[in-house]
Amino acid sequence: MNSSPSLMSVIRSEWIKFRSVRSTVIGTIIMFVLTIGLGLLISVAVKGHLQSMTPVERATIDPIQIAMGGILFAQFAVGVIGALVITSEFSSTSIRTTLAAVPSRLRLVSAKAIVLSAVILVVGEIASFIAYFNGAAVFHGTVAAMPSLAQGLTLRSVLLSGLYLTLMGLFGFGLGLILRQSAGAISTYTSLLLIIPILVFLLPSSWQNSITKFEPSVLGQAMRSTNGVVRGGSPIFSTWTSTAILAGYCAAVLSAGIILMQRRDA
Amino acid sequence: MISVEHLTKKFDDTTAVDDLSFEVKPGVITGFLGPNGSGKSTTMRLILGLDRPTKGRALINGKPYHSLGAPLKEVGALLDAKAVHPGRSARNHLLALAVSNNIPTSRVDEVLNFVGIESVAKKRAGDFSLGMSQRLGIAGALLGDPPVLLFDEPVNGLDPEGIKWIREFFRQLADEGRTVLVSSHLMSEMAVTADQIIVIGRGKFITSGSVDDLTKNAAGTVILRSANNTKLNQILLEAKAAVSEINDEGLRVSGLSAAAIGDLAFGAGVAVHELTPERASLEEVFMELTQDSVEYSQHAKDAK
Repeated sequence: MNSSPSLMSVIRSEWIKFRSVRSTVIGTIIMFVLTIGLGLLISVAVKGHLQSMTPVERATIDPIQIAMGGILFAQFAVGVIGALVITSEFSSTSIRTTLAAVPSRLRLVSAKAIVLSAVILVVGEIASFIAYFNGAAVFHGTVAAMPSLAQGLTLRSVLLSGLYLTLMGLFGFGLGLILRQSAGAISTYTSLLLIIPILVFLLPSSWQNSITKFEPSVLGQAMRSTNGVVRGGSPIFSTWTSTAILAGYCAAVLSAGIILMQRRDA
Repeated sequence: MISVEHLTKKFDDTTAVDDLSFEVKPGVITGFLGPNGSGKSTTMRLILGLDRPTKGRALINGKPYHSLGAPLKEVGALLDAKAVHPGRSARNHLLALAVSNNIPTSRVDEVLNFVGIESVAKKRAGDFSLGMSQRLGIAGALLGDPPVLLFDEPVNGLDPEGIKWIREFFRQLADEGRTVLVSSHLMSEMAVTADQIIVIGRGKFITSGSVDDLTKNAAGTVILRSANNTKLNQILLEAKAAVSEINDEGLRVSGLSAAAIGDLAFGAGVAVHELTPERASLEEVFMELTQDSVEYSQHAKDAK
């Protein structure tokens, strides 16, 4: 039975919506610029400090982690894009027009999530590769020379950088679905990324060690890590466990968001 | 055809729509009339599946809204002219809607031309005046060339020229055999726009019928001027009519027909100078019908 517009039509419609609004387009550009620009800036800064580092510090340095440093900032941009994709519909009440055209809420949410993921994944991967090559150029000939992409771990690290941004975008989208308002969703997202680490920092160090590794940005660093260590030396999960946990967070907020979307009046 | 069957919507402590049942037939303009807050918009949202009914259902040509294959090709709705992302251009807004329902994109320019906003199609919808937004909303409703159309308070924000335009437009839609449901809280508007009227108050069905039916059945009044109003007043009151004085020495009588009043005056030997039956206007009928169901009635007046 052909009930409701097909998923493909809704995806095409959501793509038109994504690219025809300034906020999402600018957000995507900001994410691209932050990943590349700040990655380069951090690489240059670290290179300048290589000489003054202790041998232990120098031995554990992960040049790829440094080259990808811009992602720590870009993750805020993707969260905002993700939230806005849905909250702007609620704040403008255009959600009513949208749902009148696409009554299947699951299909609408799926189409939005697919368009959002595709855009962030493509732009995020391109930015990650550019950031990698910038870092490789900066660290060329130093003690922290960048391993080549031919090494599986290096390639994995770059690819997962783009995936991390995508998952964080979906996380912001899920919060937007639940909270339905831009300010609430964006401040919750930034609080989770910024304030929780500060609160955790106030806890006893044994607690810190068991909690920190669950924080999204630490999971992201673990996803990018090629040597199983992150800066600061706190314990982390393996790359794939970290990826799975972050994906689990996304699945949790998205499921909650979809259930609420099905139940609530528009 | 729209069928509403025992539709009920309760919010936390209020019942916005209360066991409402009615049918909207094709080929005529049906006015959906009720005071502000009587549940007109909620009913329309329920018809479109935007809100979930507490009880009952609404069907479009026998099917619930969410099971329509391409809803925009079957139902066009203008609920809130401002329900558009303010940062998106009018054209892109319509384009996204068209694509979602597999409507040819050429149709976007057609409807933009039809409502006369093609010159501002590339401007941000957020910068539109209410009148322009209404036209954009109408363009969206027409996009799929649907046989069923719903408009919630479409006249709001339109200038007199726009109002004239929209009335002719509704007439044209109905003449083409479409089902047209137009809500309003203004009787005067419905009296000139609609063929059939459904009246609700506090979410409940009050009455329905043609404009003629509604005014015919309502008690009219008779204006009476005579050589001896005082005497007639007495006689009329004895005949259980309600009488009130009006300026320039006339009487407004209700509860008796003009013929009965004339006979009484003749019997009393008072010369009648004027005897004019006044048909109740739709406005008066509406006031009478919804008197008990106005959301914010004047309690202060009753307390006096």
